[in-house]
Formats: sequence, structure tokens, C-alpha cells
Amino acid sequence: MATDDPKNTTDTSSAAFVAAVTTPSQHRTDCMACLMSGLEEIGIKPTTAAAVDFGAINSDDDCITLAHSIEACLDGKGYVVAPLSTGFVQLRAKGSVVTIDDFVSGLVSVSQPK
Amino acid sequence: MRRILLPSFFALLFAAGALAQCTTQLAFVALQPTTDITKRTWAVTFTNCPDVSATTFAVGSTGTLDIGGINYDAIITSFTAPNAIVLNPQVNFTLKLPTGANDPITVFYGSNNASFTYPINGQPKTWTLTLTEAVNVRADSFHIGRADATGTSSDANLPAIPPAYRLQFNSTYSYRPPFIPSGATTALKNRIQRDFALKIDTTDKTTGYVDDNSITGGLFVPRLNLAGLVKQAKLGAEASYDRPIHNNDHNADVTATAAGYIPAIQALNLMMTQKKLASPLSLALSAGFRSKRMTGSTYRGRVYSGTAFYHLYMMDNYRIDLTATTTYNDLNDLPAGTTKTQHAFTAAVYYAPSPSSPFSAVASFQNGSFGAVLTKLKQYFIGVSVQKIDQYFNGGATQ
Repeated sequence: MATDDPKNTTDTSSAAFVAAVTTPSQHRTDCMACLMSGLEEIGIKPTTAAAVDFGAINSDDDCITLAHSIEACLDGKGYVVAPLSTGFVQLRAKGSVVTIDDFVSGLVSVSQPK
Repeated sequence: MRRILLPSFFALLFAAGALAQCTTQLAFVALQPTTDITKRTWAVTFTNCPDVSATTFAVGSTGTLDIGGINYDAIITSFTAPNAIVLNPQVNFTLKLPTGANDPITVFYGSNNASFTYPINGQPKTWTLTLTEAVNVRADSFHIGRADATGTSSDANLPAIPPAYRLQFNSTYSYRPPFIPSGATTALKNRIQRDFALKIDTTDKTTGYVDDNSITGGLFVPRLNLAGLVKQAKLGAEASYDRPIHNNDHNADVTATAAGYIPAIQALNLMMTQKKLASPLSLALSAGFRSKRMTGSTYRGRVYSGTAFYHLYMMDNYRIDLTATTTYNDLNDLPAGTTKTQHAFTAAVYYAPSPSSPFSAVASFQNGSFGAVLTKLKQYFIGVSVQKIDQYFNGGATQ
């Protein structure tokens, strides 16, 4: 369940982003767990010391499924999360490579406890 | 040569300008079945829109989301600045719904268009939105007019081809089922992807002009996970029929298809300092019946096809995409020399300057039979792709 300070509501600035990277928390653990289950949903066996090559995710549909899996997972763990599907589809179009660590930090920055 | 290069350069400039155009996309989050639909967060993403920033939208203020002609009050909840997984800024909001209102997702699924309106400096500004998850795509087009066939014959002694009236009609419909969270249930009819396309392109003349008409339809059940052995499986069937209106040639296919990922065979990483994750081995199989009549000959029989697609990483900087397709056709009366089994193989090599940068295509190799008419070829390609070309022309306004 979410345990972070609910006052930290709408700040998705770079400062909050950096803080999230450097401060392990239940929030970060939950984001990691949801990322792992989302990757498994589209057939990818996840490991923490890796990077996701969006250019090698085979379709936009897979990106949308990954996004919705993570969103529903975070909702179930007690977080409000911003929609992820547009960002993932754009990452695929650019062929971006995102490390798991950066991925989780991004999820922390776009979600907040309910 | 200069005459060709100069206009080409300016065409490239204008094309780059078009690439940098501001576009806006609408998306929403998936929720657990137990979560109240009024808690659903929606977002508009602003791509290449330099006039939009965190100060544009005040948290708690109200905009208007129009989906398919229905207006919803949109209460701004946050603004997401670009980060590792959100490339462009997006404004997030929830929708104010009257008691007992239907889920706007249902409206979204039945709609092709949406817009978002928000007051800026006291004046309402409206952005036309594209739907990131277009689940219900419909498009129709109709053209009629005069067509002239000129310069089609090398023999000056042949009589000129008279003008014709040309009719073009295209209609496509595709319904894709919405995402269903794990644990949620839904009726089978809501899980079926339905595709339909009708194309008419003909004239009132029997020869000398295009006469290309087809109708295709398919039913599929996507996003199936089969006991963990196959992920994102898609099963279904499709049928197509092509024929000119002015003669009896035709091509008819009825095909059953199955596709999916095999998680047991993940993308291979060789000599990598950091492992890269990609879609695992994907397989697409089809089996069907074909009836083809062409210039007086008729071919009938079974056609089977299988395609495998796989990613492989090497030495930090290289990705290799492998595609192999095998087609077996059992058509009767095949032309002499046509083999029943045909193979096609493609290897594409991508290079990334650093382990975290995007890959660019640098070379590919193709061997086998490709295309609708299965042309046999062996082809090599070496090239460089240019990424983010728009930022060279718009001052790097947004990324």
C-alpha cells in the first residue's frame, strides 16, 4: 500500500524526480513491482539491471497494454497515476532505450498516493 | 543537377516544418474494476507545442473535454513535465460526471474525434485531439470524376484511349476491444476485434484504366495469455475477395490466423554490459484456402504461412532483427517452375552510438521470395537513418 506523504500531490518537477531516484521508498518498490508485472504481461521476462528497448517492442498495441497493465496495477496498490500510453507509444516511435532504474523513477514521478 | 537538388532541399525544409507541427493526443488510465470511474485520470499530451508549459494550466481549474459531441467538465489535477517515460508535457484531469452517468470510456470507444478547450488569458483555446488508443476506427472516402489515360502506350499508331469517369470509394472499419485488467471479466463479444474494408476503384471503360476492387473482413480475439506459454496471443479468421468489375479474374482467400509471443525464448544478449529487454520470439501462423482466376486459368488449393521474428543484441551497440517466413501453397495447376514451398529471410542490423541511445538502421540483408507475387530476390542495403530531424529546423523547441 502507499505510505508516502499524500501532500506531495502535483509536483512532477525535476527536483521531485531526482529525490525519487535517490530515496528508496515503498512507493518506488510498488512502481518497480508494477513495471515487472507489466513487462511480463507483454511476454518480456524482466530483470532489474537492464534497459527496455522500446524500439524492439513489436507494436503500439504492446506499448498500450504495458501502459494499462502498470496503471491498473498502481491503482490496485493505492496510487493515482497519469496516463502512460501516449508516452510509451512516443518512446517506441523514437526507438528510445530506458533503463529500469530511470523507468521506475519516471513512474514514481507520475504517480502519487491516493 | 542543381535544378533537382535545390527544390529537393526546400521540399525537405518544408517537410521538416510540417514534422514540427503541434499535435495533441488524448489518453486515459486503466483502473481496477472496483475503482470508481470518476477517479479515472485522463490526459492531453502536447507534442511540439512550445506555448504550453506548467503555468498554462492551474490545478483545480476547469476545461472542457468533448468526446464525440458530448461535453465533460475536465478538472485539472496535475501537469506532467517531460521525463524518462513521458517525452512531452501532458496535462492530467478527471471528468466531472453526473450521478448515474455512463463511463465516458464507452463514449470514447464509440467515437473518432475529440477536442479539449481551456481558457488562456480569458479566451477559450481549443485543441483537436487524436486518440492514442483508437479502438473504433472508421473512415470513408468517395471520389468521382473524369480520368484521362495518356502516354500509356509506346506505339503511336494505336488509337488514343478515350477519357473515362472514375469512381473511387474506400470504407474501413476496425473495432479493437478495450484493455481488460487482470481479474476483470467481460462478455466474449466485447473481446472480439472486428475489421472490415471495402475498396472500389473503377471506371466506365472496360480497358485502359485501373479496375481494382476488394472486400475484406476479419474477426480476431486479441490479448490472450495461454497458460504462460504464449503471451498476447491473437486468434481469428479473415476473408478477402478481389476482382475487377469488367472481367472475371478474381482472387479469394479464407484464412485462419494465430499469432503470439513465446516468453520462453527471450531476446538474446551477447557480450553486453547491460542487458536489453525486447519483445520475445513472435510467431504468426496462418492456414487457408485460396481460389484464384487469372487470364483464363483457375488455381485452387490450400495455403499455409508461418513467420518468426526475433531480436538479438551484441556488443552493447548492435541489435539484429531476424525475420523468417515460410509459405506453402498447394494450388492446383501452378505455372511451371513455381515451387510449392517458398522461404524468405531478412536480417536487419541496427547500431547505437552508446548503450542508452536509440538504435538506427545501418544494414539489412534479404534472401528469398517477397511480396504479393513472391518475387525471388537477394538484396543488400546499407544506410543511415536521421533521427529528430525536426529539431534542426525548429530550434529544438520541445523534446
